[in-house]
Amino acid sequence: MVDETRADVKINGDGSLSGGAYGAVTINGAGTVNGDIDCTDYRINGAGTHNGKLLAQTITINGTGTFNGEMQANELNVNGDMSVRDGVGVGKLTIKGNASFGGSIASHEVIVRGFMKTGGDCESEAFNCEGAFTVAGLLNAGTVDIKLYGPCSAREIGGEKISVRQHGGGFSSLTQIFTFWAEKRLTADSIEGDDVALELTSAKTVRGRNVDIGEGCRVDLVEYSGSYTVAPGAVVGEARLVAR
Amino acid sequence: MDPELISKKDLLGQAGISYGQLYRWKRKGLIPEDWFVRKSTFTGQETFFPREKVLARIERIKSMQDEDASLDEIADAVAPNLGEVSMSIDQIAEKRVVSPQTIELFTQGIGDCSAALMFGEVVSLSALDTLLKTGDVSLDEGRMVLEALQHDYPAFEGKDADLIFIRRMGLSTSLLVTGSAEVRFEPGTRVIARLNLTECAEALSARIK
Repeated sequence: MVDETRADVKINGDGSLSGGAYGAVTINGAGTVNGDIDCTDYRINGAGTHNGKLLAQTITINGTGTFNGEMQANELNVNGDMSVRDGVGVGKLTIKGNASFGGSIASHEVIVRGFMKTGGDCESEAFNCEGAFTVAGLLNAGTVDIKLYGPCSAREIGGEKISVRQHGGGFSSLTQIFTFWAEKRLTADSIEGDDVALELTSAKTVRGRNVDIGEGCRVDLVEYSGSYTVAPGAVVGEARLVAR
Repeated sequence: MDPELISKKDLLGQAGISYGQLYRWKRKGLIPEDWFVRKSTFTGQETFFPREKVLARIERIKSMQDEDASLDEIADAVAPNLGEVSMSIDQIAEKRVVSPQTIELFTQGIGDCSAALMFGEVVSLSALDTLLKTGDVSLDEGRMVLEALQHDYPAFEGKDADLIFIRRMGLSTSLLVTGSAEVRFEPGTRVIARLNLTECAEALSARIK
């Protein structure tokens, strides 16, 4: 709901803003916001610190943003560096830089082209990562599509369709950033889904209907109810066919 | 293993659902977060569920799916959004949500009854009503239960909570615990009632609609 009477505010240079309902909030330079904000468009070009809740239609961080409070938005774009103390609820989350969340993420679509870290769970209908991530809890998504550019980890992964692939070469700028990083590998305690296809993955258990264990995997236990294939280079402790 | 819990694997087998479905339902809030109980076993961490609750819930979801309800509709039915409903005392009386005695008890307690009640308060009332109707709880005790509910139920918002009413040597008290909590009392304590507030809320939302 856009209220015509809402004013746009802009901080150019150095300034601060108190909470309230606004139109577009733009911070060019360095800004501090104290209080809960409800706005249509929230943009940081530079450095911003927000102490309070944030409710916006679109949030864009070009630069750095530090948020001490919950966040809700239809769209959250991180093109720089963002840290959020609590959890977020967003329609579409796109990370092309670095984003870390203290709490959980609830989203429809998550796109990671950089690095994402969350202290809680990450729930999304679609989770697409060409980068690296750390999810301390459960990564739960309808489709999990991961191309490994760096170290990825989650305590648990669950969903309908889970696919983990090593990235197919090519030298994008991303590749160069991540080449300096540790091994490209996904690590998880358990991975559970209907269709699971993995490469370069270390897991204690993988459970699913159709399970495909590819190159470079190390899995202690596989339980499948439909089909099961394993690549020659993969190490699987035990594979069991279980009844459905 | 605790017979009241069921492992995820057994649950999927018994209910005939897939991992994908279970995770989807969890995302949609059809199966509450706190029913996922993580425990250490010799194979590592495993997830367990309160057996009866989860099987009943899955049964309900499946039967609603057979009636072509969307997941969002089912979510509304099984996990009603408590924040959105509010009713005035008159509406409650008119729709006979709770008995007149319960309403009287409530209005005596607060004095001002012009403000609309939030859904949580209506749930409190209907829980109280259930207790009073059994005849195990007196009106005076009911007042006490209502106070406990009004004071502490908001802290359980969005979580599964049980209301327990106990009596020992003529003294009675009520307490609120999380739904999956195991509670033990001194010998000689009589548990008069243990009422699941989430179920109350579900039944109530079905009645209001």
